[in-house]
This record gives sequence, C-alpha cells and structure tokens, in this order.
Amino acid sequence: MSATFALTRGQMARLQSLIHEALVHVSGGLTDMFGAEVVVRAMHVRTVPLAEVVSIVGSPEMEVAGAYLQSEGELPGHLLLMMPLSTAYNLCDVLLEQPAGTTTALGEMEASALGEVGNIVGSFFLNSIADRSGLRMQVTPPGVVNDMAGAVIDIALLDVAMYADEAVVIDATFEHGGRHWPAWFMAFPDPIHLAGLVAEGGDA
Amino acid sequence: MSAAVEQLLTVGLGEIKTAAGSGVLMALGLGSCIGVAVWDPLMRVSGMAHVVLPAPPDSNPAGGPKFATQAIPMLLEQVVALGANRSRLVCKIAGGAQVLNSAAMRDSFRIGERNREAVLAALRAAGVRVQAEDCGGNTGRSFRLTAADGKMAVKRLGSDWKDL
Repeated sequence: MSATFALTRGQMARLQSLIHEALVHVSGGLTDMFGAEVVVRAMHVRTVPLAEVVSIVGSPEMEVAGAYLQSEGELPGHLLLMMPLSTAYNLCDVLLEQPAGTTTALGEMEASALGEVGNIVGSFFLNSIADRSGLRMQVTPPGVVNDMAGAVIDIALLDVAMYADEAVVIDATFEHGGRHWPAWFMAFPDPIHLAGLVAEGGDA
Repeated sequence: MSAAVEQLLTVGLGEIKTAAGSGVLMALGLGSCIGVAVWDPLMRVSGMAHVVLPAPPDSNPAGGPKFATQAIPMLLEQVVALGANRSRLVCKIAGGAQVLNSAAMRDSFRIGERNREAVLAALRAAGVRVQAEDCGGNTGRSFRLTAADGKMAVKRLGSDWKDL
C-alpha cells in the first residue's frame, strides 16, 4: 500500500508553523544577498495528488529556470526553486549588478547566480527546520535547471512517487523591491520521514 | 473532425487515459517520465500511460500505474476492453530524459534511462513491439496521440510538434 499523508489538524498546524518560520529565515538570507528586502511568503502547505502538483505553477510546458537541491539526513526530501524566465533574468540583473533588461539568456554566470540563490533558499530553509526540530540534515549543492516545468518537477517527485500517490507540497512566492516576482519554492519531504518531523521534533 | 476541435485529455503523472474514435491524448512536460502510446488502427482505440518509475519497491508492492511494470499491463487491458486487439497495436514511446545533469546528484538520476528499459521490457513481455521512440537526451518533451488517425508527435521546448 502506498504511504499517505493523513496528517492530523495538529500535525498540519505544526508543519505550517515550521514552514512559516523557515521562510522568514529564507527571507532574511535573500535580503542579505540582494542588499534589499526580499520577502518569501508561503502560499500553501498542502497535500496534492502527484498528477496535480505541476498545476501549481500552471502549464507543464511552461519554460522555467531554477535550482534543485536535496535534503539529506534525518529528513530527506527535495527542494525546488522555480521561476519563469522573465523572473530569472530580473534576478540575474540584480545579482550581477547590471541594468534591468541586460540578461537575455542563461549562460554560465547566470546559472551560477541562480544556483547561489537556490543555495541560500535551501540552506536557510533547512537550517531553520533543523534548529527547531532537532533533526539533523544537510543540503546538497544546487543543480541548475532550465526546461519545461513538468520535466523539472519530475526530478523532485521521484522519491515521493516511489512510496506515495500524493505529495506534501509547500509553495511560496517572492517579493522584492515592492514588486511581486513570480517564482515558486517547493519542498517535497520524504513521506516516510515526515511523520517524525511533525510528531516528535523539537519545540514546535 | 480536426484535432484542433477534439477533446484534449491530459495524461498526468502516473495516469492512464484512453480514447475511442476521437480525442487527443497528451502527456505534457515529460522529463525522466515516459509517455507510452498505443493505437489500434482498425478500432481507432487509443491509450496513453505516463510512467514515472520502473518498478515498485519491495515495501510498496501494490504499486500502481505510475510504475512501468504495472502501467503497461493496465494500459493494454484498458484498450483491449475498448475493443483493441494487441496484435494490431501501434506503439510509440517518448521521454526518459536526464534533465538535471549534475555530478552532485545521486545515480538515481539515471532514472530516465531505467524507465525506458523497464517500459521496453514490459512491452516485450506483453508481445507489443515499439515502432518508434524519442527517448533520452537532456531536455523535456511533450507527447501526443490523436485517436482518430493514430498520429503521434513530440514537442520540445521552443520547437513545434514533430511527427514520431
């Protein structure tokens, strides 16, 4: 039988609390990186059938860029920072200190910049959860991706799909300089280990 | 009826869908997943599976249509139930890319290749020959099958549909 995510209301509340606090830390890390306030807001923390995960970003064929990371240790999982190309270009211009509109393609420098953003997001996110839950985990170096949204999400869902027909999806969006940047941060915790996080970990 | 006005049936991750007579089956944004399409030219019955993984783990033997070992028999069973004959089936597959090519990632990211091998083995075991495939590489693709005429096509990012 496939594992399911029958989280109780209390467990879901605990998970949401952990996520919201982690995203505050992510916002702080990105604000330091960009030298201007970046706010990452959790749109949803929910359980979604595998076939419907991609609908969170819209069309599976939409071209996206971003960074993929894995969480290893006591809470394995997959992290995905994805954005439309327009957001990726804007982000590269800011990070590479170029006038807006300069970036029109993703070369080596731009990919490196996206990877760094993914690294900050993943590290701050996991460090916060580790601090609060007491679970030990590490984040892998980021892999930079640029492809159809469906193809990118495939990567992050493989382990979850092995054991479950649905995924706990955390999706978040970004604001920078008073503007909304379309982007999605998704975390797919391993279904077998998730119960340990919401039931036993730390003081949440 | 032209494909443009036919019903579009999106085959999502781990799903199987069928169509009889009309309709367009589409697996969009395939990465390491494999789209498996079959069509009976006489009965104009078609089916598509969106395979995610090669085989279920020992701890989850029930599996389901997301696994190649189970998706292929289930797909064939469903089109046969609609009147298709296995011996007439035209079968084509697409997908199985390695979208993320990073040395930092685990070997499991050869999953596209392993999915393809598992799909081919399951089809072979069922006596269905693959007539064409567009698998591998490092980019995602979409795959469609038009039930009325059996046309199958693949589209990559930034490209138009190309017949398979």
